[in-house]
Amino acid sequence: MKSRNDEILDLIQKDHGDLGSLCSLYVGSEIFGIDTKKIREVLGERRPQRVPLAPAFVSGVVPYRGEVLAAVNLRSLLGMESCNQSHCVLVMEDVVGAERFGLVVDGVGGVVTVSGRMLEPNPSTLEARAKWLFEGAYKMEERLMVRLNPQRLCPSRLAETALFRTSMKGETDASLDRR
Amino acid sequence: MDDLTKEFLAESQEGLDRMERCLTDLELRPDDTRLVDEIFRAVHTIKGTTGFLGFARLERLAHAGEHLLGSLREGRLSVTSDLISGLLNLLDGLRAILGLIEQTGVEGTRSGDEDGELIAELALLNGAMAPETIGPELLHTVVDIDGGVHARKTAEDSKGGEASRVASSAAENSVRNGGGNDKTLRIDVDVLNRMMNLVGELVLTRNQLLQSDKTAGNFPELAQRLDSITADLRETVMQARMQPMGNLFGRFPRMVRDLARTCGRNVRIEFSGQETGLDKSLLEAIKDPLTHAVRNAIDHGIEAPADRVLAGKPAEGCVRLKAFQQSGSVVVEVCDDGGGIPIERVREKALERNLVTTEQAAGMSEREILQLIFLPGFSTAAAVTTVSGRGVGMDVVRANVEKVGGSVEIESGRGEGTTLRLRVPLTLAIVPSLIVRSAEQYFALPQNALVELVAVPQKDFHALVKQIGSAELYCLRERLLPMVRLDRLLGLEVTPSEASNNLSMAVLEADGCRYGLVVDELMSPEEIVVKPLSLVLREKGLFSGATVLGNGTLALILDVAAIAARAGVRPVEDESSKLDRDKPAMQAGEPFLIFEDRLQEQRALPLDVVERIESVTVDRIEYVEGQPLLQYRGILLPMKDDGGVLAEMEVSRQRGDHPTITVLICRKRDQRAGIVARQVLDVVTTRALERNASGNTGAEIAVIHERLVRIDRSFETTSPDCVGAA
Repeated sequence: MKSRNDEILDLIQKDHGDLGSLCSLYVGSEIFGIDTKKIREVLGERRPQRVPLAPAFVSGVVPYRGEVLAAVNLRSLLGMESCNQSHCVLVMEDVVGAERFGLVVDGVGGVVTVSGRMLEPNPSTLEARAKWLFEGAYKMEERLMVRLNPQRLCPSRLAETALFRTSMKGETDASLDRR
Repeated sequence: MDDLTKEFLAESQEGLDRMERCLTDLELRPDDTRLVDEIFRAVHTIKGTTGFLGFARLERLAHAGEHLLGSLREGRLSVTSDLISGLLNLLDGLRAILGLIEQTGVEGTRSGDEDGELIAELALLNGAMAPETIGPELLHTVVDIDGGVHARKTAEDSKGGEASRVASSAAENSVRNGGGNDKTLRIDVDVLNRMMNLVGELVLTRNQLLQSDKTAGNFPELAQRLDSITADLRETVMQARMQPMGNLFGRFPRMVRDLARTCGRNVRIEFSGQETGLDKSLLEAIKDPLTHAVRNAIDHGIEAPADRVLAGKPAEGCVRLKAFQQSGSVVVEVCDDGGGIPIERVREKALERNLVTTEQAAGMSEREILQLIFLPGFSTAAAVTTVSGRGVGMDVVRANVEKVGGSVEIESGRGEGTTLRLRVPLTLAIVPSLIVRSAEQYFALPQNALVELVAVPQKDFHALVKQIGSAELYCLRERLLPMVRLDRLLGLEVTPSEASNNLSMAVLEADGCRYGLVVDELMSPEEIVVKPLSLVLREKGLFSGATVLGNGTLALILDVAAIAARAGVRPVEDESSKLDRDKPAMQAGEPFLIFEDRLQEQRALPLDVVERIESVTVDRIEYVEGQPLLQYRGILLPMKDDGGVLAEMEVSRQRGDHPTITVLICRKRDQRAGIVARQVLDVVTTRALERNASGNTGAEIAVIHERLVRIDRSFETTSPDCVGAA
């Protein structure tokens, strides 16, 4: 829910050329951004506990303030090979009607201030998965920063769309004894 | 909605709940003036407060009700079934308006919402019955009211019909939601104060902990204190969440009354164990299953009054709701004294609906057939009624109860009635479980599904583990137990070095499936706090939650039944193999204490007759006219010594030893006696094999651990079949 204050703040920001602050994230060689208001906490380096037979985009569970959160792996969402390097876990802000969840990325940069004029819409040639996750890209000085749609990263939303159902590796169903 | 209104709503709902209970009581005890006072007070309070809050519609209805109740209180009216029905309608009307206020904030003043018909009905009750009891001087005023009512009634007839429909649907709604009381909870201020104190203590300890570093000398002490505060706090919070079962039972008298009328039955409801506490969330969880069970008992269980009389039973049927605690769980029983479940009809129905094959049905015991009613899509009701019989029933009851970690049992005797037993854990949040490790990952197994633990040494592997195809079976006491390897089932990577080690296996049972779960290591038992898992991870159904272990790592809680289903383990009943011959004997039956008295001879006592097992020195046994006696807690216990143990011990005592003997203190009604045992061996659940006709007067024999055991029933007051019911 948006409070009145936030609304006023938004209005002021619109006047000043649609300024917004994004948190920059690194995955592989790419930079992504998520609205800072949508991030609850950056947990730092954590290794999520694997969950057997989980969907490929969930890299496991992480404990967070007495809760156990599913951690969505951005790498596997983007179809990249999983790497054994360090993982950084973010906890996303609650959305009404959805569960709280974590996001696993390679690293977290910092807060970047962007203006709406810098945002380019998704190119029409983008593949379907990326089109679903991305909200366009900001033209930064050196490179592009892709804006992610935080709501669509929610595990239940991901499970709903057929886009991510087939994982890269294919689900390992090891119940061999089953006839 | 302002606080005042909220408070008014909560208070009124409570008042109406009380009123509902009193009304059903009043029908049974029409002369109890205290009940009338209580009902009057509930309505009066609502009327008084509504005027103040400005809910005119509510006030009008409450006023009409108060008027009628006033007449009742002054003795101008007598309690009749119609009057009670009218007052219950009033109750529903009031509830509907309260519900409307709760949802929308206003009471609804549209013409369709008028309560004309209800008010008219109340006035009619007040007037129509009055002439019987009041003097002639009051008569003309009453007639006046009566006439006015009729005039208004015709005018409002058209919209009145709609209003009553709205009211009844809203009432149904509010009954289903438990009157909106789900969100609030009454807590003893003492408990709350204790909680606050503990939180204060917690903060202080944390402050100290933050100031001291790990090397400080008082660190262990602080950790200890933290531990005890946490334990206290946990217990207090649990206590606050505990609600008496009576809160749940309170809704039934009304329901039973209404149902009995719709179904044309004559039913009385009895309660026991209302004070039994149960976690609030669990209470909510069993509300629907219990409602369903009571509904079933009345619609299917209790016969029509005429049939009951024919069967030699009182015309009035009885439904008993009983709650009690039993070893870490709460048991709620719904007993009726109706016709029982017709086993033959169940079998026919199951065949008709293709739930079992003819061969399967032929090989099933009565008990197994009874379990069929829990299958989805099963209903034996000859006719589908408005109340039940649509084929959604017992399977939903079972699913709901199992969702919270409980179980459902059913017993039924033809012509004697049916008992449905719901068993739920005391609390949901904390579950005793066993931690196991498989492929470097920790898992938690709920203790209630755990039967036993087996370690298989490497050298015995081939002797004990048999293979059929790729399936592994383990020989456990002459039975073949399907083995499920957790790492393979979950597709975990196995490191070969570990596979060669000894085998650890947890024997689990759920939904009648018994199997051995093979893991790398059985760790310690731990009380775990259950955390819900994300929906996408629950979808597979293998994990019922997760928990954080003492060492800080996460463990997934395994759903024992789902694992069985995934591995393809079938309930034992389905297997036609002879290997499971002794399975029903293991499962059903009663618990016995096994002991040895005569040398090499074992005897079994029903466990519930044994009060205590005492160890006493031989010199405490005294003799009166050759009868051995023991002075025990101020009473004289006659000793029963069939095995001649006393004589043997007496010999060794005279040699100067101080031998002790084991005495089983048994009770028969108020009488107690002691049995001298050579040694106590085991507690086993079994049933008698056969009456041994060849031996002395029909002794009951059971085979326990491959040995013959004689069952001693001399202390039992009733026949074994009635023990559960007594």
